[in-house]
Amino acid sequence: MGSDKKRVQFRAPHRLIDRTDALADVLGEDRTDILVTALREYLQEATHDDALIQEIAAAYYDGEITFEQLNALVGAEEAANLRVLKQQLDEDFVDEVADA
Amino acid sequence: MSRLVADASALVSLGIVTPDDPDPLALCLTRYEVVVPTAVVEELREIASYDDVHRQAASAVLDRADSFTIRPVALDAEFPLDDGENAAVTLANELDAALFLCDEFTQLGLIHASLADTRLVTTPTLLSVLVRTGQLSATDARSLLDEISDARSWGGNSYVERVRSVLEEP
Repeated sequence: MGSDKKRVQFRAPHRLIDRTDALADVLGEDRTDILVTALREYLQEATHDDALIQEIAAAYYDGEITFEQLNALVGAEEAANLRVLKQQLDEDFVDEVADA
Repeated sequence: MSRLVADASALVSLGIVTPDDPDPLALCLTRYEVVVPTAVVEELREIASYDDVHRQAASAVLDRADSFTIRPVALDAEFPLDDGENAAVTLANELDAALFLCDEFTQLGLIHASLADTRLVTTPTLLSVLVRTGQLSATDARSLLDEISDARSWGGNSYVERVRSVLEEP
C-alpha cells in the first residue's frame, strides 16, 4: 500500500470535518489518517455484512462490477465462490449441462 | 446415461421436495446414473438422526438408496473440505463423472478448483436444466425452488433470486 496513494477530493459536512480535526489533534495525527482509518474500518465491517455481500454479488452477476472489483471488495475466497455461481447463471452453461 | 456424483448438501435440498409431484430427485435419478460416496450416505444418516428441519429430507433420500450407487472412496488429504465433500470430489474425479451436484455455496470456488473434468452444478441450476430439457415446467421449478429456498434459508441469496427470476420468464 505505502506510496501507492491516490489523491481524492470530496465535500463533507462542516461538523463532521471539525470532529475529524479535533480527534486528529487529540491523537497527534492528521485529518487524512483519521479519514483513511475510518474508511478502512467501514469497508472491512461492511464487507462482512451478509446482506451487503449479496448486493455486491448481485452487482457482479449483472456485470456492474468486474471480477477484479469483486475480488478487492470481498477477498479471493468469496470472489471464487461467486464466480462459480455467476457461471451457474449463464444460459450457455445451462445448455451445456442439459446436453450432458 | 451420464454419471452424476452428489454431495449431501444437494441431496438434502432435493429431499426437501421429494414428497412433491413432480419430484426432482426422481427426475434426477431417472436422467442420470447417480453415484454417492459412502461418506455422504453416512452424513445423510447423521442428518436423519437429528431432530431438525432437514431430518425428513435426509430420510427421504435414504429411502431411495436403491436407485443410486453407493461407492466407498479413500479421502484425498489435499482437499481442505469436510469428509463428505472430499469423498464426493474424489469420486467424481475417479469416475470422470459428467456432473457434480453440490449446494455448499460457501465452498464452491474450492470444490470447482478441485474437480478435473466434472461440471459443478447446484440444485437451483439443476432445476433450470430440468426445465430446459422439458422434464419440469418453469412454474413447477419455481415453486420447488421456493420450497427448497425456505427450508435452506436461501431467502436473501442473490444467486437463488437470479435463478428464480430466470424461471419467471415465459
